[in-house]
Amino acid sequence: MGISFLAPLFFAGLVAVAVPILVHLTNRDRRDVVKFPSLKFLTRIPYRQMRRQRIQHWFLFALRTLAIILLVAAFSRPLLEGVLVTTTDDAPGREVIVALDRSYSMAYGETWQRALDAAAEAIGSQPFGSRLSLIVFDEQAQVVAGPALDPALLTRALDTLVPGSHGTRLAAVTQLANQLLLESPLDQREVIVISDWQVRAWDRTTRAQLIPGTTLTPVDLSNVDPSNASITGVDVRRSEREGRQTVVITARVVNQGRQPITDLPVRLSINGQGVAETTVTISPMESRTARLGPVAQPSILARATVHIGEDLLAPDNTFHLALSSRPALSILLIEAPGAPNQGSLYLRDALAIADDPAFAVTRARANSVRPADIAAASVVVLHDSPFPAGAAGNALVEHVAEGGGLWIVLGGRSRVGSWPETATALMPGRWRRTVDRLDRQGVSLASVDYDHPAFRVFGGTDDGNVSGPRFFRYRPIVLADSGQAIARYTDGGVALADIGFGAGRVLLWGSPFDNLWSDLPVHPVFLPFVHQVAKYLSGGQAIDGWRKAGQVVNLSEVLGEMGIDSDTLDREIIVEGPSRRRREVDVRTSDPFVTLAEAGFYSVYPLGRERASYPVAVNVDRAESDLAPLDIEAFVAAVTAPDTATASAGALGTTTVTPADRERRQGMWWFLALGALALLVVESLWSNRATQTHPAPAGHSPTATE
Amino acid sequence: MTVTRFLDPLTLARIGNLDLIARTVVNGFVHGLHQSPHLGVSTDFAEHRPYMAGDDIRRIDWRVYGRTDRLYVKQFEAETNANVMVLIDISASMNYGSGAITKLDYARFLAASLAYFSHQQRDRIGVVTFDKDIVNQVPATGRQLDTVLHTIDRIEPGGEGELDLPLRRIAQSVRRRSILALISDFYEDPDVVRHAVNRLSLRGNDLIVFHVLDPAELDFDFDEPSQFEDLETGTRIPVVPDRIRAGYKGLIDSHIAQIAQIMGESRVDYCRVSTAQPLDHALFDYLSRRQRLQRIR
Repeated sequence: MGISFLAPLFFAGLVAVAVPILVHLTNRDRRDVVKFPSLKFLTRIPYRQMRRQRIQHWFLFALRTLAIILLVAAFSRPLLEGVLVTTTDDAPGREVIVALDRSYSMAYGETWQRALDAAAEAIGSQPFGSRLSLIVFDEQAQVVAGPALDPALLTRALDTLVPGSHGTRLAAVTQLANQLLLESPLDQREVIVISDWQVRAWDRTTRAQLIPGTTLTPVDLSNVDPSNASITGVDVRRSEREGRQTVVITARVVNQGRQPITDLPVRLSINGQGVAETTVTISPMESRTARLGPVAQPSILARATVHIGEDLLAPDNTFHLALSSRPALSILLIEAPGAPNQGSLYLRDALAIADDPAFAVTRARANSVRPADIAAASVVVLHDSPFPAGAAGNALVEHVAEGGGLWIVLGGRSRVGSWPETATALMPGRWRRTVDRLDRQGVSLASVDYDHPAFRVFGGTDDGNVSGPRFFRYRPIVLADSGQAIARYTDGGVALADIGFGAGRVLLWGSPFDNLWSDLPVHPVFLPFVHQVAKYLSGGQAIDGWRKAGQVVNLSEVLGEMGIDSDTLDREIIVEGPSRRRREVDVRTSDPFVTLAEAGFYSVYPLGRERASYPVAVNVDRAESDLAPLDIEAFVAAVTAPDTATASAGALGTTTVTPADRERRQGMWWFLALGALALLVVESLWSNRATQTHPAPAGHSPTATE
Repeated sequence: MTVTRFLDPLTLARIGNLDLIARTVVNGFVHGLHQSPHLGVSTDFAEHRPYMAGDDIRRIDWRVYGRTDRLYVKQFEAETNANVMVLIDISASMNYGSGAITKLDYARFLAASLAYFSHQQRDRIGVVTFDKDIVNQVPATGRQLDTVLHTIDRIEPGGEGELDLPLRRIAQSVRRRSILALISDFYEDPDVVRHAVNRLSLRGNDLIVFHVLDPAELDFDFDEPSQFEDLETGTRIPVVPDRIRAGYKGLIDSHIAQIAQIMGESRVDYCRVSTAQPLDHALFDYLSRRQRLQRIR
């Protein structure tokens, strides 16, 4: 049986025990000054003999000390845990975890205030002796307060909480709760989850079971008939009008409520200035696009914000976007002399329909391309073409060396050994004669490096099947020493090779996009593949973009977008969040990763160069805007073990612990306080008696000194 | 009613009037000795001596002449008019009393009694009060008993005390051989006491010393640990009486013994009195001293 204390800080009051000691040893007779004719002889006696080191009234001293100890113990709220757990049937010692959802959907209407009230009630209504923890969760869960026996600690922590910018992941709660419960010595465990219980918060594929014996008490704060409009995304299209670059932004607005929304205003502002506005009318559970613009292309990377009218859930009403100042990326497509026009048709069309970023494609023949054309392009594509000869060839090498991109798409016209020696260094490898795989109905891509930017968009399970296209012919690639195979065919041949040359990069692809050597151009993955390769080869030039709240950003990449080489940087990087919170990161000595926790615009700039601020747009996870409720009973059944007692939804409001009952269970301190009072009374009586029994000696009150 | 009851300091303290106190003490004391209120008056016969030319022929004892046929004159006890000065230490340490009266009260009673007694003896009586210097002084005269008693009655406790300076000044101011009654608690270094007393006695004065002490000073019967405050300096020290009682008593006894020894060496009558004792003890000492002095003359 152990003893714990609800308010152990009161033990600091034991310092008061020194008071009676001081009274008895030092100050006890200070009020009775004995006047004496002369201290002449007293001072001759060694001082140590005159110090009042002796306690004369041991009984009084013991009474006073014990009274103080009892008072301190009473205020510390002692708890005999063993007794309570084993003998009090209705109030056993329990481990209680209160989990509060702080995803941004909790900002809907009065939901957050209701959540705080429910949390306070859950904390306050726990039986005496319960060990409490408060955790908050969105996509991650963390302990805010506890484990503690003092409910006030948790209640105070509630005052500091606000909804965040992230989505909800219920599995995070159960995982953290299990960690806490496994560390608990108490047998009775309860997890109280206070949430708006969105259906998207529960990923049924994720293991989220609580340890056996745990009671899950859901507190349902979902809204019966939520109405919410949100911006789920924007498209940016650039065009040239009367010699000026213009931008049109199209926002997709969704009505997730059951009531139609009419004339919802949609506004576009760039760098804080409103530049376009329109209205949309949306039927229930439908979406509309709002076209904003055209507006002038900003001259620098701009902070564009699309905002719709206010509703009960504000965070998803705004969409932030870093709007690039660059016009469409220029791509020079070089073809072999005499090559048919339709040979690069699929590639040209794929590049032409890109809008994030847009590509401006120009065509040239290998024998007639001018060095100026090469210098003006961001990316050069040699599609089934020999290497340009002469000055153009040199310009192409120089173009790559200075940071340009080169994509060599091999075909039947890519003659072996025809390339000049100066171009050899920038080649990821050499190629051989064409191999035909018609006999085996072609080969497909395998061993794809999904971490490479060209294939990163296909990394998810639902993000496209790059193994679908069949390749019937290809040019086998023999990697150079510095070349890197990004993808291989199922027969082991290299499909895509990468190499860096100077400041630029070169990709080597083994099959042309003519829909003859392969059927890749007619597969859905073709467009994103071409776009990703083009963006990759453009060298990290600033593009329109935004990131999701909670995403970790690599500052080295951001610095690359800013045109700053992190290796030569001589100062710290400042990352300033939307709430003006600043963080200094030294990318030279520490990890360059920063979590983007808030929605809005982050500013990234080298220390002391605030004017060179680079905006990073961050938006809340739009999936969180879906307030559709989860089947709580199904969730409870899924996460609790069969032998786990489960409370019904909303059971918290009918907790049977009354304040009087709770006070009775915590009433041990009353006995201590009464004991202290009794001791003080006895002390007073005894002290008076002692004074009367032993009057002060005659020398204590000189009569003639008045 | 016994005589000693009137001499009890507690009883005297209730009387209040110092003149009445003195009368009560002296008359009661004398009454207890014998019935004459005029002890030692100048009519007492002392001895005969041969007649010398110039002697008053009225003092010739004719009966002796008839028996011896020689002229003898009667030699009587000395006449009164001796100077009696009462020197009262009124320093703050004298303002201590563990009982009903303080040492200063006791000194006042004693001084008043001595003054009254001396007045009855037709002595010239004067009084000096001092602490670290002379505070008040009434020269010795034969007709100023009221002034002397009034002065004694109005004594207020002084400050810090010392013996050397005031007694030196007293010695300088007393031009005629006198009987000096010094009343003090003698919280002074023995050497200082020796010098001060010698300065008085070596001028031909007859010095009788009353060393007044309170019982608490002698016994140190305190129980409770307390802050002890020096009445003269205000200094406070914490004291646990039980721990220091033996040491203190050793020191005070040694001090008293030293004072007594000094007085003996200086041929000074020394009378240690406790404020708990009746005044007769002190008066007996004084009387014996006074009678002895008269016989010498």
